[in-house]
Amino acid sequence: MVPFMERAEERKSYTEKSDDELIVLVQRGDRGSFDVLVKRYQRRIYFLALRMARDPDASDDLAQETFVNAYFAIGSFTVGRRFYTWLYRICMNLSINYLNKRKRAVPASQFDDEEDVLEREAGGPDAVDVLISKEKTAKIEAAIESLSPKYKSVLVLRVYEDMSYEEIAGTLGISVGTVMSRLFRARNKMLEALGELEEQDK
Amino acid sequence: MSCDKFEEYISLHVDGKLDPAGERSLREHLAGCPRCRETLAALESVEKTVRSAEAKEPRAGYWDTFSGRVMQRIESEEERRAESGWVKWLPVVRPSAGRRLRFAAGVASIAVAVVVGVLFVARQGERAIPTALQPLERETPVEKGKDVLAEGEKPSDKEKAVAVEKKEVPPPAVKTEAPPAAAKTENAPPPAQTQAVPAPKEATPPSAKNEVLDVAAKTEPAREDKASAPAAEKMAQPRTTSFTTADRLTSVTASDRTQAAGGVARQEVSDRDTMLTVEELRAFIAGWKTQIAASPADSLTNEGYREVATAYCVLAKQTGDGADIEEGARVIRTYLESSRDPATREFLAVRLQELQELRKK
Repeated sequence: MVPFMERAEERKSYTEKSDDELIVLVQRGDRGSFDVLVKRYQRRIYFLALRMARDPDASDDLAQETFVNAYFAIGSFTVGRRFYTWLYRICMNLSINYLNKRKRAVPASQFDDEEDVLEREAGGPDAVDVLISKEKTAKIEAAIESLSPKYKSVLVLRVYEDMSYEEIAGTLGISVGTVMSRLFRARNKMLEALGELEEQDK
Repeated sequence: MSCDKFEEYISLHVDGKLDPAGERSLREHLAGCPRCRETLAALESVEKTVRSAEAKEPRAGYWDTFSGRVMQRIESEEERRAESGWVKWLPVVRPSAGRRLRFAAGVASIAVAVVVGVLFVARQGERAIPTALQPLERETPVEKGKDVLAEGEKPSDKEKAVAVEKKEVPPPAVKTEAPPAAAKTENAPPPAQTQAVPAPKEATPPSAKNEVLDVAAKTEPAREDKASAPAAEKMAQPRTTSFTTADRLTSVTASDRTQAAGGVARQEVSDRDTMLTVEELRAFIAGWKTQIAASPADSLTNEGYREVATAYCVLAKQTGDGADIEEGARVIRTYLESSRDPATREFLAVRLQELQELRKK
């Protein structure tokens, strides 16, 4: 029987443990260690899901499910590999499935509402610039939204997550060559869609 | 060199991935091509904007409760598993105590072996008793039979007689392939939304087919298609049913594969498949897709491509729905792009052609 204080001490140092150390503990049945891992990666996973789904509720669900799936599959994780890449991959798969199933785009914006910005920036010298940039961001966002999940996923990982080609390949389970060609096509399609949106406004 | 090629260079250049020679030739091209200069400027501006845009933070207090909710979900999932039938004998749901894990793995392997055995016996019976669901084969029955035999199966004389009499293809026996998890890429993540029980490395996992169907049955309709949830529940219940379903399709695919390899240009999907309901077929397709998406580099992927293609053909024939035909054709085309295996590509091409002919009708 481990004394209570000793256990508390142990728990306190959990946040200092590496991913691998925590994973080994989870694999041995220590659920508390998984909680530490969740806290460590919750933001990254939530925002990744948000970039893909563009819907806060769906992103919450996708992020939660990513961790639940990871927990039940952690027995198959080989210590030494990068945990977050593995998590990203689960999250991307869930997101792509979700997007494939979702019939039409959700209009909700992942970015700050225009009203918030106006409120914050009202009267400020940069108010007009902010509005222009806001409008541009919304259009870009719509252009990215119009991409198929296949292209959207590489673009999100490259542009928002700043992943290298190799990391993207690892996360999506495709070759680096495929990453290159998909990125090229995704960018082309995005610029085309953007052009069309700007054309509509004229 | 055309602008198309340089657009690819531009994409690499933006990421700092273009080699020096490429950079040089891009520079030269840009000097004389206003269109590409515009593309580069637009791309740089767009990506700068995207990178600087801040994502909306969730409501206050969201992060404080996030992990607690995850842990709650995990707990209720464990309870759900513990309560549902034979799974309660598998303490693997709690990745604790190595000894219990190994014991669970042992129990799981025995369970799988029993199911496989029962199915094998059931299939032997199935062959001997023709039913309305197993109409006569329409095409080249003798050749088909030969091909299947070539796959290594040696049916008894009695079975041969039945097969000839019915002019039906005896399907290969339950596939005795290596446990798929062993063939999987290391650290391949679980299929999306999978509820798979985490197995220790030394465990003999249950059949992937079984698992895949399970995933499909349990998860496919769960998120969006709430209306069909009862049907999904029904499917999720008997694991053995799932196995049979997968196995039936597999058997057809296996014989088709041998046919494709033997140079038979085209064959119909066996009517045996009509034993599957539209719903089961959709779940089957979704399950494989999930599996493929989860680990595209997996050695099972090519098999998945073939299974999905076959299932789409059967589905399209059953529903006669243009949308199913289109979707099937689209999916097969993407698989044709992705697959590097010549036999699989050939197989997929045959399936695609089949769908295209259906579309004409």
